[in-house]
Amino acid sequence: MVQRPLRVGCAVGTATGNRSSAVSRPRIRVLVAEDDPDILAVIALALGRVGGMEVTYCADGLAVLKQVPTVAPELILLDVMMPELDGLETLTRLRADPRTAAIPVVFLTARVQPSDLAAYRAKGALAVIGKPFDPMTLAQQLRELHADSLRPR
Amino acid sequence: MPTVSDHVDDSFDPLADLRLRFVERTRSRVDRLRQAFSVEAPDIRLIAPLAHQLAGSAGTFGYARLGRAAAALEDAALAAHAAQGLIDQRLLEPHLLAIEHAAVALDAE
Repeated sequence: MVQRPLRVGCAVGTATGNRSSAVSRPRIRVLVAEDDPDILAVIALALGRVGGMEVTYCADGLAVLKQVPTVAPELILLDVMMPELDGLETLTRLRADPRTAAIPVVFLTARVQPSDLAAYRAKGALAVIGKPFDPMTLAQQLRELHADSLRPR
Repeated sequence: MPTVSDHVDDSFDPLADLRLRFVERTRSRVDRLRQAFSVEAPDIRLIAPLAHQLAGSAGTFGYARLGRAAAALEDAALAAHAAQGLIDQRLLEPHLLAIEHAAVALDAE
């Protein structure tokens, strides 16, 4: 697997999308894991209603591993701190399975200290989007990251 | 950070309903934090996730003051636990008070 450079997707000033451009683009299947119902509701708004993406939601990492074969996501958005199975362990298990090893994974987390970023990089995360995030540009950020992951290195 | 109002006109706030729900939930979260602190030996496994969730969601809804206060409590609790193996309520009380004050002010923001 080609290791992509880790990017911190900062919500401030990096995305350019808006609602009209988002819905005119191909739908991306995204699997989201987030245990906070308030944040999950914002993500649903940002990726579904605003972003026009096909989104499946999970509350923890175990549910992600269960859903992946059915959903066949093109990108996974993972919270880091979750009950049952946290984001890092979830990514480890995804990478260990040849069927899921190549799925790009983006972390959505408030933990963006340099030591945290090093850990995400070591596990093979594509990028990190910091919390708090801008709901109106989240879909565009993911589109850009997904497109980036498809480019040959 | 840009807010929703940077992207849409003043008459449309797609987050309005979700924000109201967040404000309602915040009261019970802060109560749970206070309860977690009230026991003889506060449990980092309760306090850190509660503070972490509050920090992430408050910031996303635009409540920066509450988000900062919750993040400060999470950091202080984790640091105290790492250094001493326990949570000293007296040291963390100012952070909890800051959260409570910020939560009371949510309706006015």
